[in-house]
Amino acid sequence: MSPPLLEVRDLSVTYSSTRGPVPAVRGVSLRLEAGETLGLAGESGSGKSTMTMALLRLVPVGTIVTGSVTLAGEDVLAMKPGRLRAVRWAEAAVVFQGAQHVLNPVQRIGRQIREAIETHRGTNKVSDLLEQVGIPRWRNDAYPHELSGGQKQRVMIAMALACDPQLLIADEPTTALDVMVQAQVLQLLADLQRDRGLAMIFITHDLSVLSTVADRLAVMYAGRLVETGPAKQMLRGARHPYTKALAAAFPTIGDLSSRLAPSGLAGDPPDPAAVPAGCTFHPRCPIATQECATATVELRELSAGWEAACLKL
Amino acid sequence: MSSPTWNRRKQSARRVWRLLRRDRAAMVGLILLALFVTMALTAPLFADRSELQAAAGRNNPDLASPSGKFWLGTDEIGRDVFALLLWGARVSLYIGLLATVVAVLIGSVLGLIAGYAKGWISRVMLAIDDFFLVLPFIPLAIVLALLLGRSPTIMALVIGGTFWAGGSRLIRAQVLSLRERGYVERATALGASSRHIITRHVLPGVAPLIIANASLIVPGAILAESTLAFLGLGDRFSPSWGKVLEGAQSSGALTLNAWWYYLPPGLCIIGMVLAFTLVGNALERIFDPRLVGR
Amino acid sequence: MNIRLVVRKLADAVVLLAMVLVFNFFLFRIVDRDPLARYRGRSKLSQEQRAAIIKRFGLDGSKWDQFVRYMSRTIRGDFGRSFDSTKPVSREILDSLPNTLLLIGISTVLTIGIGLWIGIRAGWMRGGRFDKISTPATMALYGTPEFFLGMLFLAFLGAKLGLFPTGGVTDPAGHYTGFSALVDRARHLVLPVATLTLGYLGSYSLVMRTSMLDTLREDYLTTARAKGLRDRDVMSRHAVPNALLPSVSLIAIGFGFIIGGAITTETVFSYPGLGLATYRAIGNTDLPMMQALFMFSSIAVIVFNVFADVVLTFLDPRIRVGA
Repeated sequence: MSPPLLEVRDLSVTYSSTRGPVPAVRGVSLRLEAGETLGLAGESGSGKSTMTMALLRLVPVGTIVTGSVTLAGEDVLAMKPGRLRAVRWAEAAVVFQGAQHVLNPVQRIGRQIREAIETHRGTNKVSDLLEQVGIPRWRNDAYPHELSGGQKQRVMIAMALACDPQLLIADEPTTALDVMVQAQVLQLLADLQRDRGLAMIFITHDLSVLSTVADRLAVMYAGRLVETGPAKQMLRGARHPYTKALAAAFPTIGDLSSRLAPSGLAGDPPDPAAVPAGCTFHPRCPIATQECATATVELRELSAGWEAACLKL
Repeated sequence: MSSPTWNRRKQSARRVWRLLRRDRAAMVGLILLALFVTMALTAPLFADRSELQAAAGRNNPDLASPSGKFWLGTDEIGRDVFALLLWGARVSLYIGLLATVVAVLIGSVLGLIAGYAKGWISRVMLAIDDFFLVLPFIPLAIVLALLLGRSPTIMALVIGGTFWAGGSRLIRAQVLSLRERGYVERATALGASSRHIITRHVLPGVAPLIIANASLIVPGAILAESTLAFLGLGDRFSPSWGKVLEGAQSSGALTLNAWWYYLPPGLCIIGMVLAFTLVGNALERIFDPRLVGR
Repeated sequence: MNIRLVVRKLADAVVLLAMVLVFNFFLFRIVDRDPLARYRGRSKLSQEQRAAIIKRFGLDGSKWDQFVRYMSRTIRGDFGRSFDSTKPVSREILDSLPNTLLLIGISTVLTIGIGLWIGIRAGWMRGGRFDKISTPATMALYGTPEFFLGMLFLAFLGAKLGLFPTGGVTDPAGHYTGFSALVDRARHLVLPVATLTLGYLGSYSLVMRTSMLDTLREDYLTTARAKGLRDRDVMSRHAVPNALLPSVSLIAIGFGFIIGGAITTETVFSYPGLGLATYRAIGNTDLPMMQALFMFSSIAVIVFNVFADVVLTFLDPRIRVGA
């Protein structure tokens, strides 16, 4: 069996804030094969963005990252700065949420894309990339504020592909877009992935989006993985109570029964600086019992390639 | 004012004080301020006001270096520099604060009107504001002072009358953003009069900004006053620190190495400006408009 | 390049200029209400003599006549005669102008350049050693009246240590020519330029630093870093161009203060420029001089503001006509 494209072992990311250390990611392990799509789901603050940023060491100064991240056989956390900069974008690129200010407002988008190419001495042409994502060539002179949300997202995708990476990290690429545009962007990503054999980590808090996109699914809660497994099966019948609640919150289009099921979960995700003892989810869990508040809970294999962290399974 | 409103105000004031206390720079500023205010208040204890007059120095040595009798030496007509320094604190503080009050009043009123009124009134006010921002301050102030007189109060009015421009713009922006938030619309829909809306809804939202802005105008006013005094305006016999510096300059103290004459007043100006700037910056951080109304 | 915007800015400037001229006219009309008051034996003057004096000061005829006369004279460059020297004001101004242009020109470039550089560096490496030293230092400089700085330079570097001349623009006894004349001029410029530069760089650097700190929070910097750019390039290519924008408008406002600073600095160093002329005009209540100087300083500020506005439209593509 060939080694996986990405192997993460026991990754922990701790911010340093004025209130003290804040563990945003606590012991996450996963693997990604070449060409595979992993859907990473969870609420805001679950640590999913932090974890993926940490894969390329894109964390604020002073943040502590422990564990191991192996990308295409190299240990990212031990890389020297020069090698890290070369690997960034060329091996793994990030598609940020286009609606945010992720593009430099005073630079033309063509120039920003070209910057990525030039930094890694690539050979792609800006106009080709724009064409591939469905943006007319003449738009390369445009400034970010002249584009719509959907167009900006496509520009981000074009920019991410500029150096032909093997791994694409898509951080909530469809979240701020309206439904029609969402579908277009999802289709675009699927096509690009197929044509280029890209591996992808697709981050979202909306599980319904992942039904067509992901091969495997990983659900995070309060910095930890609570369930991982084959996407289709998990979405059809999740095992962990949190995953069930998450799936119920976003009805699947075409599936009438999901619209009628009770949705929404009481309470808020815990403050990362003060997580509950025992199973982190137990205060909001509908099937929690006494022992959930004290016992440590690890991911346990339920069937082939399917794990969940729950005492009740 | 009704009791719950009053309690809320007291609570926010206490919160502001708590936040200020934690800010080290602000505390340094406050200590400096206390020092200067003490100087101003205790001036009569150390020296009588008559020591500022020309006659006072007649029997004293001119430009004498510091000694047991004259802690900071004497100026070119024999006056006690230490006395000049202490009484100068009063003049500088008075003019600085009065000028700021005038500037803030004009700026706030105009800013409120510009933000609240619609259409051409607002645009005309912006044009006036632009005009005052563009006029070079010192020449204008000089001319106005020549026209109106040189007493400390007039100087304060002149400075205040030219310094309001920047603040009014900020206030106008804040009023506009408050309007967007719907308070004003709701109140109008409920039948409130303009006056009620302005005093009850707009003013409390703008007040923190006014305070922070004011504390940052004071240093500018103090520097402006010292500059005008240095250029010849101001009262020689009730001198501000800037005026004392003018005396040092014109009496040749610089080339005669009479450091006690020019060093203390200059350092005092720096100190007082720094004090207000530090406190003002801290207040600005606390009252950041992005947090108002959250 | 947005021609329409530039034209619009120029038009605004012309309007502002006109407003200044009108303001200038009325201001000095009010100041100089009664020229007769200047004459000691005025009660003994005959009707014709009074009329002649009033005519001489251009105060005959209606306000409108006076205004027209004022405007036509101003356009022709006739600003009357100095009360002090009785030479034409335009002559006095032209004599002093080059010195002041040299002083303000060099100082403005230096203060903006150095100030911005300090602000960028302090903001980018917030909390670092450079920031910890430069920020309190620039704050202290910001609170220092520039003329006090000049006085200190003059007293210590000029008088006490004799490193630089203590005044004037050239050495009258030197009779230098050619290269040594240039050196002489340069030596006389050092302290005044240092004074003006240091006196104003505080505000530029503090504003730039704050601007940098705000920009540091922006997401596009993370994008730039993720692309594999060096820290240095992230700063210079992405952070700085955005952080500069708020500084530009404040630079324009600051120029008005630099002009005021030139007045005091030239006074401290007896540097024969427009600033010293202003100081003398105040002392002598030389109204024609003051009126002309006021107008010129306003024009200078307006021109500089237009320049800064135009520069801003180049730097920020989001600005549009009518925005």
